[in-house]
Amino acid sequence: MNYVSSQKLSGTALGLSIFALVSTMIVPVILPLILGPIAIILAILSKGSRYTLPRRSQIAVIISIIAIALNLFILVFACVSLVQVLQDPAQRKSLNDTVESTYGMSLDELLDSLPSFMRGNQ
Amino acid sequence: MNPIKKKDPYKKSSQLKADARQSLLGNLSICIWSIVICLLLNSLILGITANFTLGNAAINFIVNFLITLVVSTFTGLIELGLMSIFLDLQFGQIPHFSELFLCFRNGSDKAVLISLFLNGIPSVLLIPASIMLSVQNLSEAVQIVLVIVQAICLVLQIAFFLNFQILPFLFLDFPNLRARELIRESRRVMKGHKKRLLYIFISFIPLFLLGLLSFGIADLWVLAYFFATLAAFYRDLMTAK
Repeated sequence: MNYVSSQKLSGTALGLSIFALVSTMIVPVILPLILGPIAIILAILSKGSRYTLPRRSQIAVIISIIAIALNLFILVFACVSLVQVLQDPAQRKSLNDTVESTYGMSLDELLDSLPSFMRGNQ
Repeated sequence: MNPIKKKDPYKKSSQLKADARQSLLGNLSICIWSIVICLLLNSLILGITANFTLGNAAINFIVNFLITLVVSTFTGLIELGLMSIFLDLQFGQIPHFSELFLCFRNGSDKAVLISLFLNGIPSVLLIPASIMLSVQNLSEAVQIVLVIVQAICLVLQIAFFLNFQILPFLFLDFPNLRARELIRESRRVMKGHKKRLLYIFISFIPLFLLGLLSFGIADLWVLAYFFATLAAFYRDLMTAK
């Protein structure tokens, strides 16, 4: 019974970790950062009273760590890039134009409207 | 002469965790759903009752404190039920969802006292931080004093948790004892084992941080693991004693 549960749990952990890695390409950052830690914790729980992780759980942990690291890198890189773009006048103007062509408002106008939006005036 | 080293009758943290994992295998879904129900009820009741605004800041603070105390005592009853599920798992029994509301069925007076004790004292120890957060325009000297008092309260809070973390299990395990006797018993049983419990707490910090990375969702599983380990710790203490 417990062996079957352990196998099921390690299978789930492996499935989640693979999905976390694959979802990096579809929904980066959010989905992998949710699924990766869950996969690691399930892998740990699948150990039961044994001393070592089951084979599939070991693979799940490795894949999850890769997925988490990759997405944290993407997150940090995106934040740094955004700050750099906002600080450079030429790139900022280009970004404003792109946002305006998509949403009908430039990024600066959107950022200006944020406080009044939060106050509920808009 | 070589002194014969006496074998420690108590299990190590890793062995307790292994016991906890073993008890969770095959029962993880009931544990997770129980934790979800407990957390949902907790946040729902707190959400409804929180942030009453009255004219006077001092009265406002006191009223909100009392409401939080009453609500946390009420939700503490559900938490006692949650502990019952993990205790059952540890002793090889089949847990049921209905155990979540165990304290509303029998022995509710004692359960209220235990819950008030477990939630009231930590709430009192959080008063300096609450004052700092709710009262604006405090002078720098007052703020420094409050920070120092809060730091002392934090140490007291940790000591409180280490002394009374097994109180819910004792309450469930010894229904004939009165609330005061249970509190005394908890302190007695924990004598000499606080360091072990502290080590267990610290060993769970990395997992809780990993759970935070997933916006707290993975912490549901970590909480189940943690509560199961606490139940294993309690069983180990009682078996050895």
